Amino acid sequence: MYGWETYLSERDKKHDELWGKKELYGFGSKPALVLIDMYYSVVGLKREPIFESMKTWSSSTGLEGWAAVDKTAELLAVARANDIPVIHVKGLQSGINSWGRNTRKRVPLPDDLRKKGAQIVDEVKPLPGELIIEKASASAFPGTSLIFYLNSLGIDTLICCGETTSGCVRATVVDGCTNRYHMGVVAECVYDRTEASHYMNLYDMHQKYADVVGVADAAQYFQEIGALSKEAVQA
Amino acid sequence: MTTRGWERYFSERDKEHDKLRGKQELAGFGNKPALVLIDIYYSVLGLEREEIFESMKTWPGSTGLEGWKAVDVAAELLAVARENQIPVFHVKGMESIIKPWIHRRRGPSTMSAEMRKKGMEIVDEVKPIPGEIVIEKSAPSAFQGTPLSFQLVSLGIDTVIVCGETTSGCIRASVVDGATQRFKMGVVEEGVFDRTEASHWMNLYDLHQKYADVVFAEYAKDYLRKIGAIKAVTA
Repeated sequence: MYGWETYLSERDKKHDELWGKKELYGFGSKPALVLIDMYYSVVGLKREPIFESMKTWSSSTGLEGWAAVDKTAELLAVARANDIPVIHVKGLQSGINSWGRNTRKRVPLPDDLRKKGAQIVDEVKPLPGELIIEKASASAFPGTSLIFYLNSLGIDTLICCGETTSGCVRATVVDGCTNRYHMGVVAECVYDRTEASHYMNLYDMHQKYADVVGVADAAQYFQEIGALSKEAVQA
Repeated sequence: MTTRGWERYFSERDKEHDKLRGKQELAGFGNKPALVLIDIYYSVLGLEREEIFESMKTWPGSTGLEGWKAVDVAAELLAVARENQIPVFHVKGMESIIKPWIHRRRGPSTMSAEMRKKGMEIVDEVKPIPGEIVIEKSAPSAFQGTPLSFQLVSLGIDTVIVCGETTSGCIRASVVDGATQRFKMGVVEEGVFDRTEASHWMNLYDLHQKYADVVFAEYAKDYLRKIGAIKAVTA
């Protein structure tokens, strides 16, 4: 059970039986972990239910966001222990016009809060030597040097965590797939503001662009890669 | 506010969230639009107008009667665009030996070479005419690895109106990339189609919230006519 089943119509369930993905596509032998947009403004400074948190942080994902942050921190520790390259992605703070086409009124935050909101949360804070990509689009690829870094390291697989499932995670996964990387999405480590969007985007990505896997499977994959590279070093 | 088709896929929390943070008014279009028709070929519809599960017996990627209904709407839009000298682009898959981007494994196709070829053909209802550009892509998005944005920029296009399929696949990917490049994107609600109902509606919701204005066909036609009238006056 991935969770999207609840959102499928009766026709969709039948269609999925006939046409849905039945086995994983598979990952490669040189992965990187990509953490997308895990900053305070989408989870708030305190762990609160979404509608409470939204009173200060209008784009908050609430407790579900924090749960995913904790799972991501676990996976990040496994990646680091196994020398898997880690890439942090966040919004570029510049004067470039936004890509967003939502017209809702924005309540401006005081400067210090806005700055805090753009900061990556402590739980998954970058370490020296880890790449930080700043982007002015939903996807981590357009207008950034991400692909140069991936190709220079010979990366063939990207495992993605972060938010939102229906926004920057999805856009990055589609572009990674277009560039023919093997894409992985960690189900418990991605989060959204809208539940139906979250699950239906997981479904779409799994059908078309990525393997959606559990955090335990992703951790095991990193451990296997880590063990192989240790053997190679010893040989 | 009229009820939109995506609302029936919302969770209770999503309904409340949408009230608080959902898009309430359109972001708006510019004054130099193009119409882009994406992947409207026979293999996603079949050669006959049949319901989806019947059609899938021959064409596994079929979208059935809902697909054909959207094709008829796209044909109406196309006629209005042509009458009003709005540039039209047709997008389809590139037939080449480049490895597909799709992240799933399938057995080899049992279809005859002749049928496969027919399947790749744009349907007669929206067939390109001389002078209209046909873009071939090997990615879900019409922008990746193609000269689409070169032509849009050189024509001074600021607004891209899309029809075609699938809502959750190539439409979505193209709309995200168009928004990334700061084109004002429009999606014609009745002119896009999918294999999965929940994906169709939740992708429309996502696109409307983040990347585009999702509008009805009548609205889009009026917009193209208005642009045509202005052109006629200034010519």
